Amino acid sequence: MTCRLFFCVATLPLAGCVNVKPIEVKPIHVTVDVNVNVKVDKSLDNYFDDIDEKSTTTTPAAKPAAQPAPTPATP
Amino acid sequence: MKTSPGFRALFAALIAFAVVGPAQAQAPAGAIPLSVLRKDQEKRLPALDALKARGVVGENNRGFVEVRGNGSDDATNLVADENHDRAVVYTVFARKYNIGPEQVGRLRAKKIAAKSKPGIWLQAPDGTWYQKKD
Repeated sequence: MTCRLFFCVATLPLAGCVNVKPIEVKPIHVTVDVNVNVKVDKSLDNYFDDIDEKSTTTTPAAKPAAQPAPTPATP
Repeated sequence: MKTSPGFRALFAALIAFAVVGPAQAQAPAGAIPLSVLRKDQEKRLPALDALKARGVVGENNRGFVEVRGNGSDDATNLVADENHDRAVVYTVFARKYNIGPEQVGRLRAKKIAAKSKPGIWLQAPDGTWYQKKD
């Protein structure tokens, strides 16, 4: 018991020498920002699309091209 | 538990926003529903479009309209009304997504720049003004 206590006391000053590097969290933060921007963009589109379509100074948002109708199989 | 009236009002606005969604939620400034704001914006759209087409008004890089040079009183008032409504809309979305209204405005500005027709005056992210080309 005394030996253990001595070991703990002896190694205590070394505890200050441990160098812990900070954890890098930037990539996670960037991902969250991008997701929020996408959501905000969608909300803005929902609100402003009608106004933009009626405006003569903006072009309507490009809509996805319609899928071509499947051609009937030839016998 | 005692809460301040300001806290209760903010809490009520957040609950209303979460329940009825952004299009119907009460706007924080002046308690105007967004659907009413949109109708007002649609009403002033022809006049605003005319000013933008003549180059009197441009779209800045913060999602607001600006009178370029010396505009008439009518133009200045129209721009002020439009910017007030846009600010309310940006604030509502900013609170919903827990970001600053400036960030919402900048996202809207990018969208406007992309959608604007040639000839419309726009402000680049670095602050310089340019007329959109083909």
